[in-house]
Parts: sequence; structure tokens; C-alpha cells
Amino acid sequence: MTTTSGTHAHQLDEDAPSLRPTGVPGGGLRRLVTSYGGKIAWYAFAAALGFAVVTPIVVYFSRAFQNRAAAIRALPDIPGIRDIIITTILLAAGSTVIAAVFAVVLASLVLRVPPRYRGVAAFLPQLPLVVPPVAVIIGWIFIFAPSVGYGNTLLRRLPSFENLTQGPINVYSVPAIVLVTGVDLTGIVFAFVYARMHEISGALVAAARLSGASAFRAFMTVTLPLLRPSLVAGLVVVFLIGLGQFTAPLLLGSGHGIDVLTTEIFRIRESYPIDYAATAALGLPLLVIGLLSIVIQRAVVGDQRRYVTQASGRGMGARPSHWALVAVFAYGTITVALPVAAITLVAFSSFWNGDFGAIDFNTDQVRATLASPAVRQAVTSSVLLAVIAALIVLPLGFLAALAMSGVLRAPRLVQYVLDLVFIAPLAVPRAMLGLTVLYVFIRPPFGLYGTFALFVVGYVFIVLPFSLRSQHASLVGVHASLFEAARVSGASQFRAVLDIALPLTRRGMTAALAVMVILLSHDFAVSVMLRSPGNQVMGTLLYDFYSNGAFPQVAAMALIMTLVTSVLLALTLWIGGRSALENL
Amino acid sequence: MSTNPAIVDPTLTGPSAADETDPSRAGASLVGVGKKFVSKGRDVQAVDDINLDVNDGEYVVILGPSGCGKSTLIRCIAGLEQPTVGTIRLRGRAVYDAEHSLSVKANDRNVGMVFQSYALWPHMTVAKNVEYPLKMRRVAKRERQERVTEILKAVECEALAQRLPAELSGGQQQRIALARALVSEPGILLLDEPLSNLDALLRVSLRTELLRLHRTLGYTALHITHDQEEALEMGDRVVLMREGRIEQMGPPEEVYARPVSPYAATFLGVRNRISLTVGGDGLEHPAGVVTGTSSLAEGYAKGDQLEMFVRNRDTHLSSASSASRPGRDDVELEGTLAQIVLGEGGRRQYLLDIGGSQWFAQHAESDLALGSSVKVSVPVASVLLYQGENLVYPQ
Amino acid sequence: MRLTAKASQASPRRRWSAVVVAAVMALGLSACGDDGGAASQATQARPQSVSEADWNKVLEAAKSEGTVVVYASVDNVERTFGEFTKAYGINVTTVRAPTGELIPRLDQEIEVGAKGADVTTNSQVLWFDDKDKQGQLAGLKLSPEAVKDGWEARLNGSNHPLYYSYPFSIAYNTHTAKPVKSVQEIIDTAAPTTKIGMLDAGSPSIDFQYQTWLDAYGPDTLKKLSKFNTTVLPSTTPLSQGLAAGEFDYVLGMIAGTINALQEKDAPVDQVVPDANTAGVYYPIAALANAGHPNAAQVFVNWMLDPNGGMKAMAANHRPASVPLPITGVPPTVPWGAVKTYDPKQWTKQYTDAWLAKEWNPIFKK
Repeated sequence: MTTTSGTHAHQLDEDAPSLRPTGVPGGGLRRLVTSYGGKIAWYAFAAALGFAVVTPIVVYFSRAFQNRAAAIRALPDIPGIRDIIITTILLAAGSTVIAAVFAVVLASLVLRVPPRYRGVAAFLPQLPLVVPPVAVIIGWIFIFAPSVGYGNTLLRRLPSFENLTQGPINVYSVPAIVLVTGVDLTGIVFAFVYARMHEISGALVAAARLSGASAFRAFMTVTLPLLRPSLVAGLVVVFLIGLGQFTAPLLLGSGHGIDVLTTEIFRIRESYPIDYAATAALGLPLLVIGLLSIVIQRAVVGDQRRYVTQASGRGMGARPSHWALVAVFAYGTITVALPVAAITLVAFSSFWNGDFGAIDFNTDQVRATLASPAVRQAVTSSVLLAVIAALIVLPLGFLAALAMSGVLRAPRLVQYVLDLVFIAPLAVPRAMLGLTVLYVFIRPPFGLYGTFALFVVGYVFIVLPFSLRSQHASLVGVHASLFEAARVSGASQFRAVLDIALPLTRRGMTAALAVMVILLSHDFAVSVMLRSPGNQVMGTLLYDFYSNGAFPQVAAMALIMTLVTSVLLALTLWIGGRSALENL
Repeated sequence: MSTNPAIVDPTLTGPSAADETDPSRAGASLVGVGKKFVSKGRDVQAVDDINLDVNDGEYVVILGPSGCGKSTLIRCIAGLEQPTVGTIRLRGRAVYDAEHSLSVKANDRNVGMVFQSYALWPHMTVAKNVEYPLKMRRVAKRERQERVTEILKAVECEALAQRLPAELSGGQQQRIALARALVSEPGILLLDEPLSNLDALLRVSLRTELLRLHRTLGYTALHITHDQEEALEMGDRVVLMREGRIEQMGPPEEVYARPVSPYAATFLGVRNRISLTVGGDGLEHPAGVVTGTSSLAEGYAKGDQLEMFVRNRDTHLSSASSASRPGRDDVELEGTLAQIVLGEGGRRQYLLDIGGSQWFAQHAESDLALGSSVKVSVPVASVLLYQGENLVYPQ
Repeated sequence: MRLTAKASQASPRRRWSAVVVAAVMALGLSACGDDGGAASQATQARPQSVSEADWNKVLEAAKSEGTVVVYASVDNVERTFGEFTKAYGINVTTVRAPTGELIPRLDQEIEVGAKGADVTTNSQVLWFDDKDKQGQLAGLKLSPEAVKDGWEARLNGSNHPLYYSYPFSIAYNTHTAKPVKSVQEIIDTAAPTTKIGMLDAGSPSIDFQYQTWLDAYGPDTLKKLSKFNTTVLPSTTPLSQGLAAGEFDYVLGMIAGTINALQEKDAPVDQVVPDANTAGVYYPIAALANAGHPNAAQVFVNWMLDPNGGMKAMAANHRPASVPLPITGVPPTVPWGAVKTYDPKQWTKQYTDAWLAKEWNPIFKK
């Protein structure tokens, strides 16, 4: 596949003996600045960002190397460490595979939905992201707890299951854990994949079909390979997230030997004195795997030019099928509506009562939760923090996207550093990210303990990786000639960026903002480390309710969180334009 | 930079004159422009020693296949790419000078450019697109609006002012792109294969448009294309490029009548060719003799190799047994009629086979049967003869 | 102007050099940095008994401070701590987190001198010992009432009294199961299909409970328990909620406070504390040396030691409770000292890991 976009592949000017615009008369210094000013600015930007982001991570993990790497050498002594690592990787891999398959299938389905409904249909696979993972899992517990889960109770009415006293579906099982985690991640992969498939499904697929390929073969030999960079990028991100996942194993898994590295890290903190070096050492495999995944991704994707396709072009528009719409809606129903319904049920009960008929419905819990000042404060904090962190991170991502898409000329080294910096926080397991930020930023010269700013820093770390990709994708999709036309029309580089790049990145920005909003409003692992007394966020409050032992409270809070996240998401999309729905 | 102070004196014409823009000077002047870069470890000369003067108000068309460097050249003029050697002057003002390390930024060169893909900004209305160059040059709002309306009128797109580019057809988009390029009255208009993205009918009609506009507005233009018809129809001058160098340059009629090399001939649409050897009586080809070529063969040694190029429309067919056309000075060959197809303008094209070479003829006697032997006649004045890379007939 | 990036003619050297540069910079920084160890090696503070007049001054100061920040790992403390506010008019800001999260935060705060926690109560006894020795705990001022209650002797020169403990209880669903006197009774009498929920081993306190049973009832005890319809879950919430729902008949290793809360909602649950072989968790409480509200901190701690104050509230709300002083007006508490707990010096991480590998994992982590 060697179609190239636009006119010609212009060669890098860096290879020619470069001539810098020196129409500025006089002054060697001035000349220096105009010649190299751009470069210096880029180096400064990359260095500052790199330092700010990478340093804390390195500092924290260097603890594993103290005392001649004592903690690392002690790793093999942890009982079952080998199984733990394998389980962590398998769980991440398994859920990634599920996410990949679901996402691609869903994307294909959505493309076959009649255009009228496509906006909504494109959003549905991402809907599960709106519900906090803890809530989703609890919802499934309500439905498929082996003895009294509502779903199981209903299923046992069917003739084939009549004889069972438990099940047929057991939520406390390995398949359940993998499935739940996978579905949670599907939304993210879908976001990467859908927009891309949309671009591909035009003339190229038509060409394959007309050459005699069946729909399946066309898919496997044309669509899938062209999809590769987006798919691989999405899968890597999702794999990294999966490595740091502990919610499902924590809630569902300990009885089946599903111990992952993060739960082991939690265990280390149970003993005293806390062996921080050991936690760093345990996090190290995850970090290494994370970095490896990134490298592999770069290698696999290779030359991005191979994947440039001509702008859409009408092709073999698959016959729109209403069944596709039905299927997508079914997915949305099963993955979101069901758990949310279960949670709602419990939110309005006094306690989780497996005996459906005996449920004592009341609004006490919900009212108490809504009225609670702690809840109000948490909601406000979460929203504020999410917005502020996003506002900081989006421009950073935009600048980096400018550099990496080639819109602005930036030294190759700078591009690599930025690439690394923007993905680095993702390689750190979320459970350790909070501690990492805490460790570094409460000391001099920062001294941020107890401040709102510390929270903001932590949140910035969480969402930084998500601000680059979609903006980069937006910019890459903008034909070079649009910028060239601006330049020739008299626009300086700055104006060209302002007038052309910025407006055209709107979709990418909106997509990034949406993802950030979702991630941040649900965060627990980082927030629990960084929050100051009296300052909760929704995620920590939810977890508090969970540990305090009352599911109805948890359920009520989960509903509130879902509502808040939905509202934020809706606002984001409203600002970003409806078309952003399709390109989320 | 020039050592002279910046004095604008239109009477000065020497090269040491002021480098301020001077309308009486050449619209564009390229001297020794070249661009070299390294690709996969090899040196590639994208543009090699280009010397070209475009006079004010002239419409120059650069013609050549993909990869011949025409696009690179035009982008160098615009400032979107940097050459490695040479000088470029626009309206007398140096915008690029390798020796003096001078390269004026693209947004300071005062050129207008029409891109192959139109490059209209999708998030701006037509009016906003067109007004942009004026905005960048800090023209006052009232004047901006006036000029925008004016130019839109000139391209007959006034009614589209508030539309978005996505709502426009290809032809409309191209006109708007043109309007945007012209609105600031640039010193030179650069057109990068502006018609290549349009379907055949539109192409033809837009060609006429462009010609009309040029006549009315009188700008200087440098237009690149791979379509020889387009080049010949539109240019005051045609420049044929080959692998980074200028192969031939001249008014369309001249270039058309006397392509300077086999490459030029092929590119200019001369389809019929045959390799000939100088023989005893004239020229021969492996399967026979070409009659009427004794004068052509004069001055060559026996065994010399020549290439003959002939246009379709100069090729006549008659039955093998018929007599030569009376009163004509024809060159004749023998061939077999292979097929009859319908060609341009509904006219028949006759496909024939001459000793392995495939030729097209446009004129034929009636009642020629497929597969029959035919006599191919070409007026000797229409023959193009090459020895190696050189045109040896007509001189 | 716009560049089409060249293919992965990427110079790998350049790419890795970026990483190396960053790593070197950061390692340099880490060399300067400290490892969360002891900040200032101050000396241990001494508790003191305070006169009525002085105590009133403390009270005044506390009231003007107006707030106390408590880091607690005990569940469901809002209501209990609310009693303090009712009594003194001082707001309590609670930061609730599991002990494993709390300790790192406290350590960081101490190291940096940040004014976060005023008071803390969590189950990590060794941590309290250490911090006290390092002078990071405030010298406890005992009010006259506290002195009367005999706290001087109990403190024995330390500043982190034990004020509360709970035993692990056996909870049961009142619809489907009957109260038992011990796990042995369950093993002996319950049907094989009985649904048992067990708290996952891992933290030393519950491990110690399981070991206690192994010592008392035989090395097969855990194995026998696993033969029922047994599910192991990592925390009490799904266990207790599952119990109420009917998912379990019995839950082993239930912690205090949860069952009461359910009972208040009329859930069909109850709990028993076996008379013998019962282990649990002990909680110290202490004010921190660099508390932002030092006087409120002192008042709070004293309140918690007061059998008519905090101690009573704990005994009432976090049952089954075991407290050092007799309380009136609440359901009976477990006699102080009857609850066994693990020796933190014995149950180090290595020891715990070894115990898990030997006793727990082979049965439950297949």
C-alpha cells in the first residue's frame, strides 16, 4: 500500500545544506536568534516537559536500585511472584484482545448503521466509559453473584438450568474478570479505531471487492492492515492501562489466584516498615513491559506514510443495515444499561437483597447521599480539577502535536523526547503514579503538600498521555497544502498555526478532552495519595463508601458519578461540535 | 544583498539596479537554480541549473511528467522549499540567493499560489478564505470586503461568498482558490497543476476561464502541468522539463512543431514512432523500406540509426495497391490494419501494425478491411527525424 | 514548510539518547534526594498529666482552633467522630483510608513537615512505636479525667495508647444459618453445600486468626473449610453485603461495625464472637508532633480515651468491640485482652509470605 497523499512527498529540508532566513540585516545575535530561536524554544519545551514528567518516575523507581538493587534481587523471593507477573500480563493481554475484537466488530457495525443514527451509534461503544469501573463491577455482582444474583435467579427459571442451586453464571471467575476488564477497555480502542475505519472504508475496500475479494477477505487484506497503526496504538495504550488494572481482580478475583502485581503492591503496604524499594521493584516489570510495548508499537507501525489514504472517496458504502443498529444498541444495553439498572435497584434499597420480592425500596440512601456536604464538595473538586488539568494538558498536547505532525519544524530529537514524555506516565501503574507524584512534588523546590496544585499535578500526569494522540491524528489529517496556502497568503508561522491548525484540531481536542474528563472524574488510585484533608474527589469518596461496607451507599454515589460524568461529557461534545461524537 | 542603496528608479535596467520591486522588470527571474538532496544514500538532483525569465504579464506553462522537478521548482519560487544553488528574483527583488545566504520567507514573497488540491480552508467561508491574504497584509476591513467582492465577481462566484468549501463543486473550488491567490494582486501567480483534479469537461471549461481571466486581469503566471494539450493551449511560452532540467522552451507553436528530442516529441503527443536505419536508397526499417525518404537520408552514413516520429493526424491510410497521393510529397510505409476504434471527437482512429510498431492513423480511404495490407502516407514536411537525442529534421 | 516525516530511518541512537539523558538527570536528582527514612532524629516526647486549670486552657485553645484532622483506618467513623463534635463543638475532618495507604501519606507528611494529620488511628502498631521513638508523636497531655481513669500507668511512657480493638467475628445469615460457637462447629455440623465466605489471607491480622484456628483445631482446619461451598473475597464489603443478600450463609473474618450497620437496615444478618481462639486488630491513637491543631488533637485523643466519650461511641457503633475500660449503656463488649493479635516482630513480610506459601496458597490459590 503505497498511495501517497496530495501531490508529492517533499523531502526533508534538513538534508540540504540548510539556509536560514536571514533577511534580517545586522546583528549576529539577532541572526542567531532568528536562525536558532525556533530550535532553542523546542529544545527548551521538550526539556522542561521531559524533566517534569520523567524525573519523578525515574526518581521513584530508582529506589528499586538502592543498596545495589537489593529490592530487585529480592523479587524472586516473593512467593508466587512468577505467577503474579504472568497473571498480570495475561489479564492485560486477555482483556486487550477482547477489547480489540469488540472494538473492531463494533466499528464495522457502526459503519453499517444508517447515516441518520450513526452519530449516536458511534457513541454507544464508548458509553461504558462513563460509568465508574467499581460501579460496573458491583452492578455485575448484583446480577451474576452465583447464588442470589438477579440474573442467575432469572436464568434458573429456565428449564435447562432448573436443577442448579447456583449459577449458571459466576461473576467471581476468571472469564468474568477478563471480560469485564475487556469491555471497560473496548471504548478506548473503539475511539482509536472507528475514525480510521471510516476513512478506509471507501474506495480502497471497493477496489478489493471488485477485484473479487469477499467482504471478509477485503476486510482482512485491506481494511485490517491499513487499520494497523490506529489499532496497534490503541491496543498498546489499552494494554498499558490493563497492566495497571486492579479493580476487577480486587473485587472479583482473590479467590481464584488472580493476584496481579498491583494487589501485591497493596499487600506490601500492609506491613511495617513499608518496603518502598520493594514496591518500586514490583512496579519495575510493569514499567519495563510498558516501555517495551511502546517500542514494539513504533516498530510495528513503522512508516506512517504507508497508511495515508486518499481522503474518503465514496466507495462501496456497505448497505446500511438496521440490524447493525440493533446490534450496537444491544451492546450498549448489555454493557451499560444492565449494570446501571442493577445499581439503581440497589441504590434505592436498604441493602442488597437477593430476594427480589422482599426488597424494601426507599429513597433514603439516595437522598442522604445527595444532601451530603462531603458529596457536594467531592463533586465540585472533581469537576474543577478535571477542567483545570485538561486546560493545562490540552495546549501541551497541541504544541507537541504540532511538532510531531510536522506542521512546525522541530528537531528530530525533540520529537522523540516528546513522544516518550507523553506516553511515559501511562507506563507507570496507576497505583504507583500517585505515590510517585507525592514523593517528588511535596519536597523542595516544589513543596506542594496539601495544595490543590498537587492534585492538579497528579491529574496532569494521568491525562497527559491522552492529549497528544487525537490532536496529532487531527493535524496529520490536515493536508500540508492548507498550511502552505496560508504561508503563501502572507501568514507567519504563528498565524498559520492560530488560523488553520487550531480550528482544524478542534475535533481532536474535543476527543481528548472527553477522554480526560472521564478518566479524571473516576480517578481513585492517584487521588487517594494526593488529596488533602477535607478535600475529597468523587473517586475517593466512592471507595470510602465501598470500604465502609454499604453497597446501597456505593450504588447511590456511583449513580451520581455517572450522572456528573455524563453531564461533563455532554458539555464537552456540545462545545466540540456534534461531529466530534463520531470521532471520539 | 546588493550593495546599492534601495532606490526605486524605473529607468535603471541593469542587474545592479535596486532590488526593490520594479514593475518594469521581469516578473520572475531564475538563474542557475538547482536543488539537490540525499535520498537513501544517493544524491538526487531534483532541479538542475534552471535559467528562466518570466516577463511581466506573461503566462508561462511548465510541462513535464511526474517527478521531472516542475513541482519542486514552483515551490522553490514560492518559498515552500529551498533550492541549494542559484538566485531567484521576483519583480526584480531577490528572494533567494544562495551565495549571499538570502532566503525570504514564504509569507513575504508576495506570490499567489493555486494548489492542485485547492487547499481551501474548510472551516472558513468562501469570503473568509478569499479575504485572508488581505487580512495578512493588514488591509483595512472596508477595502478588504470591496476587493473580495470584486475578485469573486471576476471569477463569477459572487453568490457563493457565504458558503463553506465542502458545499462547493470542484470547479467552484478551483475558482475560489484562484480568487484567493489573485486578491492581493501578487507579483506572480503560481499554479500547481490546478486542473488535474477536475474531470475532463470541467478541465476544458476552466482552461477557457483561466485564459479569459488572464486576458482581463493581466497577471504574470507560472503554471505547471503534465497535460500537453493544456500547456499548448494556455501558454504564451511552454517550458518542457525533464529530470530537473529544461529540455525545451519556446512559444507553443514552435515547441509543437519542432520538439527538440524524442522525449519532447513523445511528451508532446507524437505517438507514432519507428526506428529506421539509413540504407542505400533512403531509410529502412526491419520489415521494409520507407519510400520517399531519399532526401531525408542524405548526409548520413549507411547504417546510421534514426528515429522517425509522426503525428496521428498526419498519417493517412490507403489500400496497399493504391497509387501514391498525387501532388504530394509523401513518405510511405507499408503496414497492416489491425483495428478501428472511435477516438477523440468521435473520429475514427486506425490502429496499424508496421513491422512490430503500433501506429495510429487518423485519415483513411473508405473500405479498408481489417487485417489487410495498407499503405501509410505521411507528408514529408510533417515528419520528425531524430538521431539520438537531437532533432535532425526539420532543421 | 510542512514536512512529511521521513520513514523510520529513525536514528535509534538519537532516540535512546533522549531516554538516557533523562534517566541520568533524574538519577542525579535521586542521589540528592532522600529515601523516606527518618527526618529529624528528635527524641521521644513524654506524656504528661495536666492540671484542671491547664486542661481548661487546652480546651479553650482547642475550641478556638475549631477543627481537628483525623487520619483513621477504621471504617464508618463518621457517626462516632460526630459525637465529638456534638460534645465539644469542634469539627472533625476525617481522612479515611486503609492502613496501607495511610502510612505512606503520614510518613511523607512528617518528612516534609506538612501540616496534614493532627491525630491518627490505624492498626500498624509498629509504626506508632517507631514514630514515638523518633519524636514524631506529640507528647500526650492527660486530662484530669484521663488520669483518674488510670491512663498514666497504661501509657507507660509512650504517647500512643491502645484504646480499641475488635475481634474477627463469624457472621451468619439469620434466614439460612444458625449461630455457632466456633468454626469447628461449622466444620462438624454444617451441610457440605453451606455457602461460606472467607476473608482473603494477606494481611497479618487475618493470617494470624487463621493460624490460631490451625493451632486450636488442627492443621486440616483450613482445608476442611475450603471443602464447603466456599468463596474467598478480598475485602469485607462484598462479604457482608453478600451475606445480607443471601449469597453466603456464613462469613468468616468479619470485621467490626459492618454487621451492625446492616442490622440497622433490617438485613437478616447477625454475628457471633467465639469465646476462644479469637484474634483481631488493635488500634493505637496518637496526636502528631507537627499537628496543625495541636490542642484540638489533645482534646480528641483524650475524648477517645474517655469511657463516657469516644470509647463509648466506639463500643456502641463498632461491634463487636473490645475496650480497656468498662462501658455502661452499651451492649456488652469483649473483655479487654481476650482478643489475641499478631506480634508484628514475628509476622514480618518474609514470615507472612512464607506462611501464605505454606498454609494458604496451596488450598485457596489454585
